[in-house]
Amino acid sequence: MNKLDLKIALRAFLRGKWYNLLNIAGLALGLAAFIFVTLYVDHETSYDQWNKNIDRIFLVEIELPDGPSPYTPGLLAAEIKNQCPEIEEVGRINTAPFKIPFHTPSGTFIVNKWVGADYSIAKILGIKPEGFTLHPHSDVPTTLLSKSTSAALFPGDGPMLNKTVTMMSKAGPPLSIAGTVEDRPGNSHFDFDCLAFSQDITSGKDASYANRIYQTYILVRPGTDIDILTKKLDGIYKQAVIADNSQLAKETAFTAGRSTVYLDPLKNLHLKPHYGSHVNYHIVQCLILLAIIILVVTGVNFTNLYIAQAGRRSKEVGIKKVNGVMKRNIAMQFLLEIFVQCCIALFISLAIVLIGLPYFNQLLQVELLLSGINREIIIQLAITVITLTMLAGTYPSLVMAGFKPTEVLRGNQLSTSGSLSWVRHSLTVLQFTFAIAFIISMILINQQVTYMKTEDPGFKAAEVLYIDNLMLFNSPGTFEPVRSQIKLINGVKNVTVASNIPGGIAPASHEYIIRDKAVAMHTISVDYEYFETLNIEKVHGSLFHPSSPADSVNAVINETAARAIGITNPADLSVRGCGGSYKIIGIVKDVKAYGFEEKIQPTIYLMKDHCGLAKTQIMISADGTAIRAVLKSLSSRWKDINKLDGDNFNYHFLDDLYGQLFVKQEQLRTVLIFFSGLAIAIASLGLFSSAAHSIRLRTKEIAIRKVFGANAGDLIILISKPFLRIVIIANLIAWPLTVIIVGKWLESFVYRISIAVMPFIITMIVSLVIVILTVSLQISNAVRFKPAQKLRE
Amino acid sequence: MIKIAKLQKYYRTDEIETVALNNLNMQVKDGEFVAVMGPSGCGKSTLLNIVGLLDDFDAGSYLFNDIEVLESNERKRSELRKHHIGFVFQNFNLIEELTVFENVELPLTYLKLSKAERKRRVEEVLTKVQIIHRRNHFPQQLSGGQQQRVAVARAVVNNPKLILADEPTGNLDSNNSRDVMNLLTELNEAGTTIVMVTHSENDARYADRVLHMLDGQVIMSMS
Repeated sequence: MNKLDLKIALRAFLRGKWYNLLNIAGLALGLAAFIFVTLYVDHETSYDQWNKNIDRIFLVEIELPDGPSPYTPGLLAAEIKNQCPEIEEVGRINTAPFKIPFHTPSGTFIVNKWVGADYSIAKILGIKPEGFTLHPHSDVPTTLLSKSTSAALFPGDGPMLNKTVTMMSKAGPPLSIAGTVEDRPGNSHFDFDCLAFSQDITSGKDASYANRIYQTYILVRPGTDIDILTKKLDGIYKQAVIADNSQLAKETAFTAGRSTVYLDPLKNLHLKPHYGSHVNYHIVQCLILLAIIILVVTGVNFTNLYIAQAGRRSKEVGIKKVNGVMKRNIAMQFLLEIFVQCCIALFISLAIVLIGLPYFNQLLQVELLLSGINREIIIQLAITVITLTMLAGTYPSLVMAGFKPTEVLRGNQLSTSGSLSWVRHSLTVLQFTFAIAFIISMILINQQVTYMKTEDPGFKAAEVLYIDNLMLFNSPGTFEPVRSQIKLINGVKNVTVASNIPGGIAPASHEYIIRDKAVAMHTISVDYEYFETLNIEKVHGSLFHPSSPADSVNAVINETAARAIGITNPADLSVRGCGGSYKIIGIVKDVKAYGFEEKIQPTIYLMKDHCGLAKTQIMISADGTAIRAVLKSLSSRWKDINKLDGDNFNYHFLDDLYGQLFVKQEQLRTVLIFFSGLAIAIASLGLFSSAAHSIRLRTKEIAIRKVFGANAGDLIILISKPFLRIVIIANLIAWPLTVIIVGKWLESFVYRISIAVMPFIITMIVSLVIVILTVSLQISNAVRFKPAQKLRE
Repeated sequence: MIKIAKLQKYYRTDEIETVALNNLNMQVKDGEFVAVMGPSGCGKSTLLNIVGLLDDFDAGSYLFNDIEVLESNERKRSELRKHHIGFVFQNFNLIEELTVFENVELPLTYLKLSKAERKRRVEEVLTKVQIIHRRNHFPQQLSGGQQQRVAVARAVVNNPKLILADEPTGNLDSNNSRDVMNLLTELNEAGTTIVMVTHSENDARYADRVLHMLDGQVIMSMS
């Protein structure tokens, strides 16, 4: 490419600057969307990658009869360590089920996630204290804080070493904090506010096989066969459970016989753990797909617009060829020009990303930084720009380099029929197919999200307060004074305490024996007024009531449990399990307490359980109009109502908590709205230019038709017709595609909408209207011109 | 310089085959000024494109400076065009993005000449065609006659042995036509061979010889 080529390129660009800028803007938007997604996907897939042992670390989990559980008995770790030389290190963690207030002279900080861990966890999960070394065989516990917790508790510079806080209340037990945790070099699935290392975290606790509350991590030696190891661990677990003689363990043994130990690799724990939600993984997959589609649509749009403008450079190609320049060199010149335009688009897109990143972060609840663009991302971007250049530029370069000088130098217009027009129409079909698929997907996803938000979940979360509480209220007697004091407040309707709340941590599952049949049921330990507070409807029998002294051995089950047991009314049936024997007195409606993705599990509600479930979750239903006053009163009286919490009155609205379950899907909806808008904008841009091109090529035809009496309406139909055909074809291709893709997404919901015809029809109409509007805009000029003038040309 | 024998060229579409050149024979000697005349569709422009190595032919022989064109590949033909042939078109075909100077400079940029040499040659030829005062104008700022003078300058700037002109005065008024024809005559007198397709009897008078074509054949050669 010589200086004159550069001049021609630059001046040609400036001559059609608005058109070219529009084209580059399309590219930049597509690239910006792609960069956003790249940043997000890199962030999501980078979890624990910094851990050099990532391929050798596994979480030991158990597949129970009713589903997987990440919790293992405390004793299992020691057994594994003794019997498996192929395992280099074993460590357990135990997360406190409640929040703990830490007090210092400068203030109070609520520790949301307190984790106890064996010292060996530090080695397995790469945790290092800042400023000193851990002694893994020390008998003295070491408590460390995360950077953010430390900054909140002890503001100031430099490493924080050997400080003391009091736990629970200001007069509570002192806790010595050794220091802070060094920043890990990347994201980790394992996060915490406070991490307490000890030699044996089960010390002083029930570590038996009946008590599965620990998460066990292992680091295997290089070259270990994981399948063989998994089978070995399963055998060790089953034997050990049988060998345990406690009554509870005997019941566990019954379950253990039908359970399997398996290993979940560290590399899967963030995105697609065997136990837990795959929503993040699905979002990553979905975004990658969307980004690729947007990039293709962008590339196709560029190709289309570039070819539409190709005629303007035809004379240049002709003259160059006449002067002996080879076709190959001309193609390379155009490819180079397109590459430069892609680079300009890249810089614009980086500016868009810079401006848009805070919104994107807010939307997806992440903290991505443009400085997160590291060497790998730069390489990815370089590859993207080159790919985009090839994708968008190869075809137009070849088309333009292929112009025959004998034709273009005689002033012939490019042919409207034949391969060029056929390819351009196919590209427009492709663009519209994607745009239409986006619109339909957006409508369907919106329908599902709306369905989840409006469908009766079986309980009422609105106007229910949930209060953070440290006190255990395992027997009704201890909670009664709290309830009666709260109920003195005007506007309070019902007050209860339970082991689990809807939208919170899912309850543990236990095996129950009914009529010699084993049924695994979620166990929720509740207090009086539980069903009333949450407005859960009774179907049969009776509910717990203070007037019934036998409630400590009574149980209420949900409809799914009744179906699993095979009863339609309670009939005072006896069940055995969780260390006790209970009589079923009532059946309540099913509750979608954990969203629409999880199947409702058979659930048993107990007033007094023997599984050791901690009843700490206080819920208060109040009159909507009085909620402000209720909160004010609760806040001022809390230290008298619940002495252990003291000044710490922390509340949440249950509907907010429950709403968190839909956050990811709502994010997906917003992202899709954004991508749909982008795809439609780019497709319309393509259509706009195609229509302009078509009108330019058909000027003479339009003039002749006008001479013979065609009016504006006739001309709009004439020009629109091929485009309407394109959009109808695009609709027909997009429909089955969307049904397959959205159908797949809907499959992740147990409770979901069925795909209706309406969104497809609406989209067809909308797309046809877009075509007619776009073409009408273009045709207004063609309608105004004087036919005589055009015919002379 | 040009020896064409039994040249055949067809245009094919899905349904019909049109004969453009039908066993055409023609010779042009070095330094000759030949005009080609004939009714529309008789094959004049096709012949000119083939002579200029811009188009293929289906049968026959074409020797350009004793080199058989049929056996030359695209690269060889490009080289021949680059060094030996200049083109002048009816519609000028100046590149709108380039100034007068740059348009004329364009063919030289492919000859690996120094910048100073390019400048010298462009200025020389622009002076010759009397358009040097407009060197920094863009084509759209010039009259038709001026544009064609620039196009002639571009065609001759690399000193080609052969200039092919396709109705060079077709878009010009009589005064401008006369100027352009005088220019071509001067070039011819300086030794350049010229083949010119024209409809104008007047223009044809400038030529040494006039070939009359009909239905793809040369039916008459008049000196």
